[in-house]
Amino acid sequence: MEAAIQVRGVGKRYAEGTSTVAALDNVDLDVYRGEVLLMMGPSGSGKTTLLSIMGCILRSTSGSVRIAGTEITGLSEQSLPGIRLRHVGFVFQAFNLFPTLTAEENVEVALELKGIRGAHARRIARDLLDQVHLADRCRAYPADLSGGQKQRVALARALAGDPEILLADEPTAALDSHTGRSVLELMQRLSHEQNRAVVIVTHDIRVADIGDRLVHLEDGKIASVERLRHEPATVQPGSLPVSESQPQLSFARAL
Amino acid sequence: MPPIARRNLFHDKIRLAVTLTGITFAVVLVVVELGLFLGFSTTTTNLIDHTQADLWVVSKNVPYIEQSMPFSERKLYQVRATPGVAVAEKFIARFGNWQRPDGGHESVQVVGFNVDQAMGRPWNISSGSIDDLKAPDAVLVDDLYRKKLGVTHLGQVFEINGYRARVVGTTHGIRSFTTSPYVFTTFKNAQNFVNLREDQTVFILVRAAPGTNLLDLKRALQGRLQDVDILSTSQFSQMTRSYWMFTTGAGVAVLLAALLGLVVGIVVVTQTIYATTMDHLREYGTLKAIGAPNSYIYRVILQQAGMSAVMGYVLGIVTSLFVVHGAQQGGAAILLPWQMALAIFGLTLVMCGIAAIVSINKVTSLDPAMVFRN
Repeated sequence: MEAAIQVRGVGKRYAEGTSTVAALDNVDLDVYRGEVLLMMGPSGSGKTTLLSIMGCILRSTSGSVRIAGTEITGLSEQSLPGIRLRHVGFVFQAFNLFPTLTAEENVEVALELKGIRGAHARRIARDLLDQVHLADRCRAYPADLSGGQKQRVALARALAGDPEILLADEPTAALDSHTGRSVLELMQRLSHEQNRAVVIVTHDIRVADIGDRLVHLEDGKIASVERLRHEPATVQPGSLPVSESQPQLSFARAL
Repeated sequence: MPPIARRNLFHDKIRLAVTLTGITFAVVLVVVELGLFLGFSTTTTNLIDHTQADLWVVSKNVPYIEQSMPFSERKLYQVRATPGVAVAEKFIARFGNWQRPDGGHESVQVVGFNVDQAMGRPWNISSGSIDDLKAPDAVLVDDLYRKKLGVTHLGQVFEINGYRARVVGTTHGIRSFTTSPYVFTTFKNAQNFVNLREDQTVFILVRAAPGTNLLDLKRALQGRLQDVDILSTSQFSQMTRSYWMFTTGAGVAVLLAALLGLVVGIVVVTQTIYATTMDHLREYGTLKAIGAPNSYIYRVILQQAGMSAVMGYVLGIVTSLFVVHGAQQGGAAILLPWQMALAIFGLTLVMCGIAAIVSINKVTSLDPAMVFRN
């Protein structure tokens, strides 16, 4: 099976005065659809740098990166937003919602970028908010939502356009432990039931059971890769429609 | 499209108030400075532009209307005898000394014209009539200068260069560029008031017969008349305007102030729209991160700038109308014709466009990886 994300020999160096500092050094990693990959490591170990490279936000200095089968290292700067738009959904630590837009409008922005507009976009936005159990809060502004609700809106926005890859940077850092865990469990279900590759950067070892694999980064290198789940959770694309998976997401209501 | 631009604009009411105040201030500044320039420019040639003449016969090498020298009225008959001339009349515009009953003196510009002809008449008559001027001492003054000239009621008697002058009516809003108000009277009275010999005139106003080529008529008159110049009304107007606006430096100062107003306006608007963009920088970073092309973000910023421009312009022009009205009641001539109001709307859009481009430059260089930094 082809990896949704394939990283080969990736390095990233930053200039620091007259010398350069290696943020990543010769990293190899594959992430598959239907898999939740946790990335852990101390501050400065290169987690966010690797996540940014996998999300086509940052360019690697060396090596090769394939996203959904497309080699991105040689692509022009103008092509990268299109790759992000088609294949990658992002979840941020600080939610990064548009404070002046309602929950459904936040999702509609992402849909509009993918060419879906008007009543059709509104229907999909409401459906996505329903999937994360926020149908009743679709007209609420971010300021009126709890932290967990905001992150679920961010999840719905990340799911707009049905990307095969979800990248999350410390998605629970701004949440209490119970809410944080619930968000991660929701992401796990979105991975397993909707066959998405999910990469989560986290510091919290207590949520290790959420992942299928755990990657430890140290000093820009992969120190270890640990398989947390022996039975691959991967399902074939299309085998479990979104509608069938919805009842299993009932735990999200508690967020 | 989710209304990001509109929401960004209206979400923070204080920021919106600051933005609109900035644009309104810029619009008022530009209106006042340009209006003042236009007012000055129009006032200098008010008299020439309202004469309804096609051509002017003026003394040789005259630089502007107030400077013309008298010449023999025999030239009037030469003009009338020229083919293509429909009407030709004598006309006077010369300085005189107005003496108030309290003994005070004011310099005035005496304007003398043939009351039986349309050319050279005053306009905007607010009391009395042209026919009232047929009395030997009758004059019209403008409402704006009643206080300056000491006029309290119609029929009041003054002296101009020692000759009796009786106010029989008033005009409204005929402003003089110099400090000397216009006093309208018949050509005959004017000759007395400015001590002109009976056989002299200061100008001859010419109206061409329908279908006559003005350039040909001008050449024909120039060929027949000695020691005078023949100028078209627009030419004389332009010469007078250039003299007052540029030779004296008065217009240059106003023009510089107008340009300064423009620059200050652009800076104020740029700063306010830039600040609004900076407030939402993280959101633009998020848009870039989730795959929005730069053009999408540019559209949001331009929409924001466009909406600010329209709202700021409306507020600015309404405020300007009050300022213009107030100024017209006072001593300053600030004009705001609809063409200028329209041009300033375009200018406001350009100002906001420039402001948006400065903001767009900032957003273009935005690193989408900023979304991972807190």
